[in-house]
Amino acid sequence: MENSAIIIKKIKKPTKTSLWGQVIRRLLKMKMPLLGLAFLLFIFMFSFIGPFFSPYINLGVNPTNINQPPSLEHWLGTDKLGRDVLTRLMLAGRISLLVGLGAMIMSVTIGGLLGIISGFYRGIVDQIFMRIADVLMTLPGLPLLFIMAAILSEWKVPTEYRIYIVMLMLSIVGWPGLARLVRSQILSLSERQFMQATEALGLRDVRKLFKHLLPNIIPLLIVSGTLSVGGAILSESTLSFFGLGVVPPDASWGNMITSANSLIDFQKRPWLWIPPGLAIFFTVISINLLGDGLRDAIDPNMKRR
Amino acid sequence: MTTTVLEVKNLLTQYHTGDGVISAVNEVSFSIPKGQTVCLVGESGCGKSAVAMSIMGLIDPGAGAVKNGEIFFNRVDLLNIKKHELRQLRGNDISMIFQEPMTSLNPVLTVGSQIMEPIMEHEIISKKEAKRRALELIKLVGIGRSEEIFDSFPHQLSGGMLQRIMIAIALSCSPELLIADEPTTALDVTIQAQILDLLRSLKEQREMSMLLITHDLGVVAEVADYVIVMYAGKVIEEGPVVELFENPKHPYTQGLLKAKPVIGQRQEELYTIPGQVPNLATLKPSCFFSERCEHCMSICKEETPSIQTFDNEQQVACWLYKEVSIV
Repeated sequence: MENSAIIIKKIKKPTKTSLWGQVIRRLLKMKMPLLGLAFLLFIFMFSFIGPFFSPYINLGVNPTNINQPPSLEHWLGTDKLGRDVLTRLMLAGRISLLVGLGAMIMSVTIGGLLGIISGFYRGIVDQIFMRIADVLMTLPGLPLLFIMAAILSEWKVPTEYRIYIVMLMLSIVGWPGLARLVRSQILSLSERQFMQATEALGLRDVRKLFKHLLPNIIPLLIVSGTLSVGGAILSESTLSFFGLGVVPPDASWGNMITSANSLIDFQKRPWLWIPPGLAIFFTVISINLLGDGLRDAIDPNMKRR
Repeated sequence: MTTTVLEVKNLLTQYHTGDGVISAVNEVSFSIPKGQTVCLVGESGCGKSAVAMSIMGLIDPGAGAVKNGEIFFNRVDLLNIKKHELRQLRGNDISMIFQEPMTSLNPVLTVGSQIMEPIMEHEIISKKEAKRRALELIKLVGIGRSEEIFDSFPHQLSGGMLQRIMIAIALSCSPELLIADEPTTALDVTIQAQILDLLRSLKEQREMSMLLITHDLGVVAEVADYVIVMYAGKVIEEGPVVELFENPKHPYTQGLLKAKPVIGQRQEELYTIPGQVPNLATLKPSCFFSERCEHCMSICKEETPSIQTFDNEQQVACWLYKEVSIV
């Protein structure tokens, strides 16, 4: 009896029910998104901390030791220039993840900002931004990326800047969808009574935009941002696979798979292309699982959990 | 002679609807003296809220507009004011309490930050000072545990609490004129009484003028100094509260007062005014109440009665009294 009384007391104890507290609690109850999160943490540590434990990090090419199958010294073997595949996989992860994150941040910033402004001011501003978005959305994404990348190759952009340019290209292709989503949200939020109340309080536009509207769409930005990281990693891999994204000597998962292009590598040396392929596969799947979980956790309409 | 805070002259506000242009507010004139409470009474859809929205300049330009008339606030013409000047007036000198406390607060911001906002917008003040003021306001509107309430989100509070918070926000910059659009409609009776008491005492403390919009005659009797009865966008009767309640002249006002349930008396059936509010889009020149009026005469169907003043400051727009005065 006494025990149950204590338990009841514990349950009834008022918990701080801030919005984010609830989201985190709901997220912690879901298995697949947590699995995704765990794998992402692993792949981040693998890529960013892993190379420091590798004995081959400072060693470049080694002509005496090329195309070796996996062994105790080289867990994933070596490539055609004698570089350790495992170390390269880690370094490639850095670049692929950075490109994914960078492209996401840029497209969320551009898309979010333009979407908020279009939805709030409407009229001519809205027309201009949305028509630009429409044009970008009617052009097929991949050929557009190819053309941009080809122009860049023509201009001989130094390799160390290439990843930033790849980020920029991906975000140019990525922002219109998000801008539309944000705009539609802002349009519907603007009709809500609390926005009329801010008008009646005489608040400045900046305050309305960034203090009242922005917090309302942050969940949306987080979810679509998370999901877009996966897409960006995939697009980057595609570009790099065709030699148009990140180019050697910099490694990315995409340009590592390029080795599958040659029949001998494809048939006889699977250690060259299977690991980066799996890395892309699992990273993107984890990101999507996490994104879906976040969407469910944030969605206020799903209170029955 | 007391000074006039708000003066509305011949206000005409029209909305575009599928049926055509409707005049939600039709030639409405009234004024609010300093420190007084004026009540705007009428059935749903008679244009009460449209009056408030016109004063605040909140009519959605896509839906309608103020077509004619003048609105003066302390001799400032609100209809021909620059946009940024209007912004400085709103929330600072004129503020408004909305009908639905549940939907009028931003769900993702804490109550405290929403009280602080107008203070920080309109006054040069540090964040710390604004917070202190916000906590004071929470106490002022009769909520204890102000620190705790300050950090809570709207969904954690009850409707009555939220309405108090709305009042706190409206009062945050000590406005001269408070427009309350059905502030108690969404609340239950005990909370209603508390909110009304609160509004009345705050009004007295701060010498604030108030425009109270309601359909509840009990509320009117409680707080009003002066009453304006609206029907189908027009003012049909107005007068000091005591006169109007004791001696309603317009058949509509009489009907309204009869339709009010009296506590302690159980009637077989409550009185209702027969018929429906007319469709505003299809009105012809006539007394708009004529369809439902038991004293309807032939002239009522042909001409719109103008408003006419009686000795006791009561004003009525009805042909019944016109005839009497002519005869």
